[in-house]
Amino acid sequence: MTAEAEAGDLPRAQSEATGFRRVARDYAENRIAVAALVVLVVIVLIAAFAPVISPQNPYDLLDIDLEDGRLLPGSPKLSKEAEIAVRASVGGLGGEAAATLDLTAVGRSGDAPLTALGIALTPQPGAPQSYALGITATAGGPLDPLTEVQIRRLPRGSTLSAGEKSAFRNVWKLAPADLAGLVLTLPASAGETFRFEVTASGGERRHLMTYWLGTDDQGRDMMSAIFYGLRISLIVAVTSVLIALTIGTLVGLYAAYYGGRVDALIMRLVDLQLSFPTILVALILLALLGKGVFNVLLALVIVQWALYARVARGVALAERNKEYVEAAQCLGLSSTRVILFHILPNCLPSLIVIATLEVAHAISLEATLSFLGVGLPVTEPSLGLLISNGFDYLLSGYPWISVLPGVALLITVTSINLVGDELRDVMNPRLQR
Amino acid sequence: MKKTMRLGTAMLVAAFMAGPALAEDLIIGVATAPTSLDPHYQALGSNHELAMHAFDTLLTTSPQMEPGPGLAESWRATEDPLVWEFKLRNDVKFHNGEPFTAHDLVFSYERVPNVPNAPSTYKRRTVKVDKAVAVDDYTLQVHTKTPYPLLPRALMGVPVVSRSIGMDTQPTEFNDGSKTHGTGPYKFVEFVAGDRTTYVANADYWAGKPKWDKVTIREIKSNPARVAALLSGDVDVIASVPTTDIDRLEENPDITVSCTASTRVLYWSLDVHREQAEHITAKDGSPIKNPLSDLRVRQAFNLAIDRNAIVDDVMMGLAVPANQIVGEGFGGHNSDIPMPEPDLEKARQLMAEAGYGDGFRLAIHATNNRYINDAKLAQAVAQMLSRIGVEVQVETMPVAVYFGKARKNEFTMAQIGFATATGESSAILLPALGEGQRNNYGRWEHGEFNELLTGALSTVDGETYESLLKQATAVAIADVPIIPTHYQVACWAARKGLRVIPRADEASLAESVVRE
Repeated sequence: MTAEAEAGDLPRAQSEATGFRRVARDYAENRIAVAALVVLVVIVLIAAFAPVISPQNPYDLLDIDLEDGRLLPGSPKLSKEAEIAVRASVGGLGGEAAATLDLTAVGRSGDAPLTALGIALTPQPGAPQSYALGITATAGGPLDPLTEVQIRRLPRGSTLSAGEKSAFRNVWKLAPADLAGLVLTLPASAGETFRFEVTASGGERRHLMTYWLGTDDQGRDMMSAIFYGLRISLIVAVTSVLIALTIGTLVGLYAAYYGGRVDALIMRLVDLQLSFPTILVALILLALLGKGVFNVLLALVIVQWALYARVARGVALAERNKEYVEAAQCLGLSSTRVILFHILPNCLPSLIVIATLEVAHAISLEATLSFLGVGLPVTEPSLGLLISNGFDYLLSGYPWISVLPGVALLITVTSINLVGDELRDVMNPRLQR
Repeated sequence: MKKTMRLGTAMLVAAFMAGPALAEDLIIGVATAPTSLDPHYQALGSNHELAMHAFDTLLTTSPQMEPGPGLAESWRATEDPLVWEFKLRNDVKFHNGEPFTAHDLVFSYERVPNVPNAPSTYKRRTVKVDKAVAVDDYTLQVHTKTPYPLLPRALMGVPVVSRSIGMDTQPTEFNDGSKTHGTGPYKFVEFVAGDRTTYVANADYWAGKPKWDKVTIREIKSNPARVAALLSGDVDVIASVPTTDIDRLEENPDITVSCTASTRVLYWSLDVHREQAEHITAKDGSPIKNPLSDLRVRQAFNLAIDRNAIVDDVMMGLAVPANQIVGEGFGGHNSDIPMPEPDLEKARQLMAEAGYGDGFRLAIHATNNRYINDAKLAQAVAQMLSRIGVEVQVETMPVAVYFGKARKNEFTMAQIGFATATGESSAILLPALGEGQRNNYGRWEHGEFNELLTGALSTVDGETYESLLKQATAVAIADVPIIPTHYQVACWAARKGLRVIPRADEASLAESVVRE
């Protein structure tokens, strides 16, 4: 109470602390608005921390895989197909290779034996019965380490310097590390020729992550794409609103303060601007400027500033003739100082309300532009572009590609609108209870 | 919310347009709008298919692009290798009753290069024609500048107009019907820009009564809306069936889908000409020498692009992998050229050998409303190139903007689709790879290739011609100035009881729709 009594003489009607408290108290009375605020905060947090919480970077082409396109929500992401190359040679110890064969096979690792190759070799009479067995097997891609190499059908009784023979079958199992310096010793009973097969297999297709919201046609994780899309949409919308708000407010205030020709000129310009449909102006601008985040920002600022100019002028006209303004002028303060430090603070509440609602509008506008294909680049989708990308698949049995970002957009815009509406109610002195 | 708006509009339009289709009426929904009804204005698929309703050509084009008797009953190369002779039908009348004679052909071929304000005319088809001479009313002689084996194929695609319209006819005069009288199977009724074109049967048609009494060709750009129009019965047939919907439509017992491999090849044109490519920089943004001028980099790109993945995952099976300009069964196809197998290891090695082991930054360009899945294809290729270390940015734009820029050679790696109108490869090889040609967007120049191609185009011997074309193709493909990825498959879907005979030139013709 004391604070208010003291503040009574000041140009500002209330001190900021109690003003904020009153607004917060009134706001809290509306439960829906509180819920909307909570949702909005969550959305903003998601957008802010998208790179941290997203399981995938949807803008990194190396991170997404065409093969995973159009997966249902909840599908797992498995490691990629492995490419395995096997090369085998047999030679006398210290001698030259007597036979070499190599073979490259491609297949899903983890599926049973990948490749088999045979080497037929005639041991020299009286030659040493030990051979150097040079086998190399490599799996392509870091995600699929080679897990096992098998050598089959060696002459019965043969031994290898490493690895383990199966108890019953004529199969040697080797770890990839065993392959270096492998020596094969044939039994004395070995025939004149022998052959064997090498098979190699990679690890299981590993479960890398889950696509909780499915994937789009390019194999992008929808959840990550929506998080990043929210981020872009919010950044573009908030930045454009802030810039437009600043420009529009200043123009509107100066028009109201000076009046006369300046006022008439500026306000006719504003009328002119407002008489064009926003979407049309934005489309033309983007068609001229080309795509890109900066150009979308520019287009949004150009279509929005006039609204703030008109609101700011309206509010400022009312304030212009109040006594505190006259008082300030009598003190010999400069016009700029009167406008910025005396009139502006009293116009802010209405402007904040408009700006909040306009953020929602800017998000929809950006989404519309992106949906129409003139907004952001296709490899860095915002929400609108995600909806547009999925639009082709809407009737083809993949509705989530379009619907989920649509839902995200809906939730975002609705929550901002609810918050904005409630702010307008609690900040409007006429509605004070 | 925009999505529902678009769908809503489509439904609204559909509701207004609908009207129950009568038994002898046919409504075709097509994806692309014509730019004019003047049959000589622009050599564009959407213009040509409309022209083929009201107008005829000297020779007809079969669904597999073979010439057949049309206004000319027979044709032959005379003893003089520069002169061809065509015997014409004597029972043909224009829609306004005038008789058709050889003079109309002479007039039509003269008009082709002289259409006022035309962006790209059928000039390419008549460029070798020195003069056309009407020997009598029903005999036409065509003199070529050099021996030209393809003359019948070149002329088979040029619509024939009446000479009574006069040389100063403006293309717009065709849109209101005042000059749209041809000799074709259907008479022009009405053209509503952005909406539909209507025709009625020409009862006196020389090849017999046309199949349909009334034909409406409706333009429905949006893929889902076009499919919805077919499913709801608003249209009888749709062209350009979206790949995403094929499966569902094929399973639908009330719909008949028919497809054929088209003559359209999709390829990436690479800028091999510039010292410093416009859209390539080092990864830190600093300018570098154009890597695409190095054959090894182009080969690496070729190996990095997985054509099977493009066909299976982007085109959903509705395409044929391509390693050259025309597919099997079309003239000039060289079956000795192997299909490149994707090999990332080797591609990376080639990049390293060329000194680009760390990759570079590249912006690739594609249309977003011209070819089937064009923007999606560009993104897929970006993904594939990123696997060999290239940092790729995809820029897509509408076709109206795109080709203007392409012709100014503003792109470094650009997606191009090219269909051969003659059903053989020289119709693409020459404009797309010939020295100094307008559509040679990467400005590739190769002496041996030019010699082989010029040789092929100036012989009238079929076998020599075929073998020279094959050699030219092999020379070009080995130097990788372009990277072909796939041939489109053109699909139509029709309601129960109808079937579309698919055409390799992708044209949607009422006469190709048959009752079952």
